[in-house]
Amino acid sequence: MHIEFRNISHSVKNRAIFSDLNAQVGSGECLVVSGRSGCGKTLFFSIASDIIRPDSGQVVINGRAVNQMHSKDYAEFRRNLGVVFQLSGLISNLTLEENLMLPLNRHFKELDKGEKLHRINALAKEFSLQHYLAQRTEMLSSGQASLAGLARALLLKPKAVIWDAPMTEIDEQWGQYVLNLLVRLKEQGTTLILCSNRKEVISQLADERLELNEMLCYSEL
Amino acid sequence: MIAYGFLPFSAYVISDFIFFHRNRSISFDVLVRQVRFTGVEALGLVVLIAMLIGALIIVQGYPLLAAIGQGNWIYDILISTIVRDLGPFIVCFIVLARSGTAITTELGNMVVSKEIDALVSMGVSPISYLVAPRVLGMIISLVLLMSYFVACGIFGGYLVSNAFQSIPVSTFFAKLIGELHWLDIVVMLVKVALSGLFISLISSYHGLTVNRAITEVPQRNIKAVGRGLISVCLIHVALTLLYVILIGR
Repeated sequence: MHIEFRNISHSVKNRAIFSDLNAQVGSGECLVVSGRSGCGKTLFFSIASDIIRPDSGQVVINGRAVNQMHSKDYAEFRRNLGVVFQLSGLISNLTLEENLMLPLNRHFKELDKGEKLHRINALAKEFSLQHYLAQRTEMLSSGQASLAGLARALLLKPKAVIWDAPMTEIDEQWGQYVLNLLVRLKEQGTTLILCSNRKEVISQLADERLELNEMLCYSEL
Repeated sequence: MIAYGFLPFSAYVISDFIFFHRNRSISFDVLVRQVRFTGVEALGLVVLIAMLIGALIIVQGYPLLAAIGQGNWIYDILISTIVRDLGPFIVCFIVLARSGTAITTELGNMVVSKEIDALVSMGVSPISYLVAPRVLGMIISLVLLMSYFVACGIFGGYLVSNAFQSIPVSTFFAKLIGELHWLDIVVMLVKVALSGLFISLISSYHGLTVNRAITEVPQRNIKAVGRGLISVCLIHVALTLLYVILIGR
């Protein structure tokens, strides 16, 4: 999936956070967005995953602007995009299994329940979460919740993964496993956008880098 | 949709729950949970209050009416309080205090913990998944609760009326049904259904307008309860006036 950010400008409470920002990343490539705390990494993550629409400019996916997509194409875009939040974003009043079932029920209505459960169990096993499937997600540790958030994003076999502050909650051992997994995904052609300052992420994964300018973050309009 | 204000939000939610079947793969479980929480788990409270009110009406009213030789008016008073006016208002108030606040708190916390953003990122509409089933569940639950309230309120009234004058069950209910007008049932159902719609819309709207801080949740709850209560009062007053005009008394 080719993702391009064209002339993105966005302000929050009259403060310009981005002004004519341009960046792009292609299939099998990784864009690492870094910068000091408060410079807008999470805002960039929200714009990249189309949770927030920028004040001006466009996010273009495979040559098509997201804000001009028809509902069918938009659903396709959503299905092909795996989004991982810093604080997992798991739905707290659902069990882990229900959380993982949600995107499958949304995008693969035609799949029978047995097949869905098979997929969920396989992925849960990969992240050692199989014993927690029946538990509500508030019972998980922050590291497990982070892994569960990643599992949910990977469940639909996305063509692009966007992750805000990857591996901040994960221990060293799992961190290395996840890093290898991201390298593998990249080799398979998955586009990665990672908002991170971690050295190992930058050194092992980055093809493109976007250093957000702190001065711009605080410049008054 | 939230940014445009309450009316466009409400119009969007109503148009979404009309096509509820399209999203049933993700929304049906939420609907069932809402009906269980509002319509079933509140049953004990509603039954207790209904029986106490039914009993109180008889305790307070029967001796006075009997003293002036109008003991039969007690059926009319039971209908107007339990079925038509006080009953629906009490049920709506219980639901607003119990389930309305729960909806605002839950949705507000979901906004703060980025769960709403996560739903959007998965292509799941928060309106279809969270709001529409709650609105539908609230309407169904209020109708269910109102049915329990009427049954228990009248039964409570019957039990206490036996302390003053022994009446066979069949006679009591025959007289009661004789006094009941079909419009009483219609007004009761419309009152609770409309109140359910407004309570759930207002509670959901205020929950989703929480911005970033957890401290906004109780503030939004206070606003939701205040506006919910005003809506319930206006609905009840308007429908009671309409009833009086239609029935001619």
